[in-house]
Amino acid sequence: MSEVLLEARNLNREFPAGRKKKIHAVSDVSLRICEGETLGLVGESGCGKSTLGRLLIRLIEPDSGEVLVRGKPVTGLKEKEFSSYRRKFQLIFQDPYASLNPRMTVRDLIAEPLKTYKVCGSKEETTERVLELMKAVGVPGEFLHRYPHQFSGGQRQRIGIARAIAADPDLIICDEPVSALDVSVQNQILNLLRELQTQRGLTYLFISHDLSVVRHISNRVCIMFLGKICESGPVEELFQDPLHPYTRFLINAVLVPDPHRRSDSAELLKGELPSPVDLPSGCRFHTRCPYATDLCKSKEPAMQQIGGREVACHYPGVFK
Amino acid sequence: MLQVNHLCTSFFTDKGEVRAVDDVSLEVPAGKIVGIVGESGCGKSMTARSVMGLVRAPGKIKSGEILLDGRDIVRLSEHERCAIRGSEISMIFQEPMTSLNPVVRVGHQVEEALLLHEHVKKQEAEARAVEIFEAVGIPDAKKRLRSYPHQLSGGLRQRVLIAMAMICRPKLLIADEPTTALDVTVEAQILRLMKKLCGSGTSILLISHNLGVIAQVCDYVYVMYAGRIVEQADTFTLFDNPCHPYTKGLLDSVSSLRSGAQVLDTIPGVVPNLLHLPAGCSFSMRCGCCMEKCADLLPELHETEPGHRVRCHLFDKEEPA
Amino acid sequence: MFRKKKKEKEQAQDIRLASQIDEEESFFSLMGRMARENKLAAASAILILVFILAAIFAPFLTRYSYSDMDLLHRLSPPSSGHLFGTDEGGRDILTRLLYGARISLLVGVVPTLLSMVIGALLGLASGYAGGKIDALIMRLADIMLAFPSMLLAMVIMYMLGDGLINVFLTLALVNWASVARIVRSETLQLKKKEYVEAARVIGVSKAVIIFRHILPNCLPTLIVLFTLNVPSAILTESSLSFLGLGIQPPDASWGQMVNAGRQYFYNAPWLSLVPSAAIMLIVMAFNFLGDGLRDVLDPHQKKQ
Repeated sequence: MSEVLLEARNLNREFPAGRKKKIHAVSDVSLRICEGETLGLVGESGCGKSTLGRLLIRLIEPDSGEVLVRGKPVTGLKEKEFSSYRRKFQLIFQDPYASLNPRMTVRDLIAEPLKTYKVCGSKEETTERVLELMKAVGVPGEFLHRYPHQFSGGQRQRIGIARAIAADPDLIICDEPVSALDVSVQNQILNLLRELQTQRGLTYLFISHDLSVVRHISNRVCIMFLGKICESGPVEELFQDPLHPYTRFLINAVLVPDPHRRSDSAELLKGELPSPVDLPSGCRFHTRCPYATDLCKSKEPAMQQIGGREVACHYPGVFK
Repeated sequence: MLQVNHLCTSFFTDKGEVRAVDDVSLEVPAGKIVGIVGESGCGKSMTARSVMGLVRAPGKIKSGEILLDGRDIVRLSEHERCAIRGSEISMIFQEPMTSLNPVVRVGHQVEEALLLHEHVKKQEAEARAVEIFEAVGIPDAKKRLRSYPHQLSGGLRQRVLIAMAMICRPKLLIADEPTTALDVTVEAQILRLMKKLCGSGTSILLISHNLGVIAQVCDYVYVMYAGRIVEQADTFTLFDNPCHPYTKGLLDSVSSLRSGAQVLDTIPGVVPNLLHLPAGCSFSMRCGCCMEKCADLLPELHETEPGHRVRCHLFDKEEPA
Repeated sequence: MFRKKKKEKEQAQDIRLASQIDEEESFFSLMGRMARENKLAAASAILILVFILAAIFAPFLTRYSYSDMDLLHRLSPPSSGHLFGTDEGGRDILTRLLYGARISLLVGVVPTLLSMVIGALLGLASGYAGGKIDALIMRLADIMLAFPSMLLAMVIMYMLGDGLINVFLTLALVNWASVARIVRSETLQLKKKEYVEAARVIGVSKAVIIFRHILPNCLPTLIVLFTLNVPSAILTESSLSFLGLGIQPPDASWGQMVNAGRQYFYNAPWLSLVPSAAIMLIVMAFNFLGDGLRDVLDPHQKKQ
């Protein structure tokens, strides 16, 4: 296996929610991202996947736990000392409408990272680099002086990607980059991300709620439920043979675009996500899990290794 | 049940007329789920809003008729239309977060329609509300009536909205992207609920961009592109034998994502601006099988087999492709 | 074969798109666009320009003096000799109006700009930094806002003594707090926008985030505030003058002329009406110009 680029150890983060209450957004999460791979991070809304992504690049500080870059801890560093790492970690946002400043032209938007890290000397050189980047992501260079609102969602997402790759990063965290886009455009963006990965040797952390997309683009997957990783492993193994009951229900709930394969009889997960403010005791999934026992209600399962995979369940594969 | 004939809805802006819905004819038979699928901006939501009479200025229904049980509701006065809305046709929207009034208890919001349309007593309304809450699968129905929207999760809110829409037992429910804002596990629950409703006699017009949703629940499908219907067929025919290049492109996009292919199939280009549509087929700029006449001549909706219509020159009767 | 055709089509599309616009917009083309799109704003800009020119070239536009009394022609109504009549000291009102424009325009614009700059900077700092800095600045603003503004202005004027510069300072000090409050709340909202977070991801420094990402997006609010504050500054100055703390006779300002004319309102209404009309015109002109500027600076309004 190639070198570990980014590692998180026991990250915790809570947010205050009214008086004396706390949202447990991320609890005791450890993960590794290796150089050149795409790690998928899947979960329902509110499970803390976006918070985890932001913790990893220190947009949010953790309450406890640490982040290591190529084995070196970076958690305690001051913003100035961290800035050399900052450049290497970029983020692509979900909403291409909100993540571009409406008062800046495409040129200024893409030039911003170049200017921040003084990549180019002169103004002409900067413009030239911007045009190169626009070409790389498939936005026609004639649109240099246009404003974001003059573009469609897909093109805006391309501009967002151009900004992310401008400073030549190692890791890009893609936070639901295609979920706001139409199907046909979604595929264009996924192809572009793949292409850029092979050309530039990028590493991705791909956050999404869409299992088909994650399955397509990832090498390894982590499934998150209520602030915890409940299962992780190589993508095909995990999809073919899920071990955690939650993973199985997620896969079952995918709507197959084929009327001959209607899932009318498939078992569905009952109920809704418990609130991250009042967490259930023991295993966080036990309120929705049809296989839960008294052990699940009282004791939180630890992460255990099974083959090349990890799962946090007292009874992995119980449903088989 | 519902029959829409040659509906045209346009927006009159400073920059010109935007034909959001252009010559759309569709039919929702009793007890069926009919789907409209298309990308954002293709006019599918506008079609639904036109049927509900919720087109906002500067938009206007220009021509066409909307027959509900044979009665043309376009020509009704605003007052008469209000009487139909909620009692005969209902609608649920995409955003369960913003479609409920945050400062009014959900029970009251659900009962409101009943008090308005059927003039029942308060107690009876409450009993009916409990009943409908149970029917749409809200646990602790009695207690939940007293909740405020922010105390409910997204899935529960969408159920409340469905309860609100269903309480007067409408004949037709229009669901505009009812599951888009929900998580996958909840989405499947809601879709199953909609099927159940349909089984108990309500017709549903389901609008979605998600081919998975359409394939799973619809009986008949209309595919819209740039304000027009480009293909219509029953669900099985459409997915087995798509004819229009746009439908094919959409289906290929989705299936290649699931096939494990390295490079995904896409439809090149972007959805055209409705202000500057070509004179001919609006898909011609992105179409892989575009012919010379496509750019100038608008194709008709041809019937290729019973119940299957396609708006494409490839299927012109005179010179079959 | 289809693929090749597709390529050709894409290229054709690219070329078609390339032939559409796409130039950086200069200041003059911006103004030209405003003149085309918003006639009222253009007229307002011209009116303001005329007032400014009239104020500058006042000595060449009139043969009377603004201060010399002519007791034979006290309170004479508008005539061909005195277009707007004369005041209680027999001075030509048109002349005083022209000279008064010098002070009133300055008093309207300079302290407003000053208070906007102070208020915007403090508001940005307060909103973006949060915590102690925010608390400190906002309590200070609260104190300023808790005083009746007239009383505050009088106290400051009394301490500084009269004179034009002191009027500027006083008005700026009285008005900054409300600007700071509004800019702060705007900043708090903008701070949460995803594009601000995006800038942080890139590693953009705080100052750049504030001045490039937040301030320009406060601009519409600031322009509206400016157009509202200019007239209020002109009026506050007149009140101060009335109380003997602002501009002293025989110097003229419009507000002071309105006040002076009030006693004679039943016999000689033109004394107050003429400067009032001038204030109203300039206030309206600033308002319309502000609306026009706001629209024209908004990238959404630009033609596709």
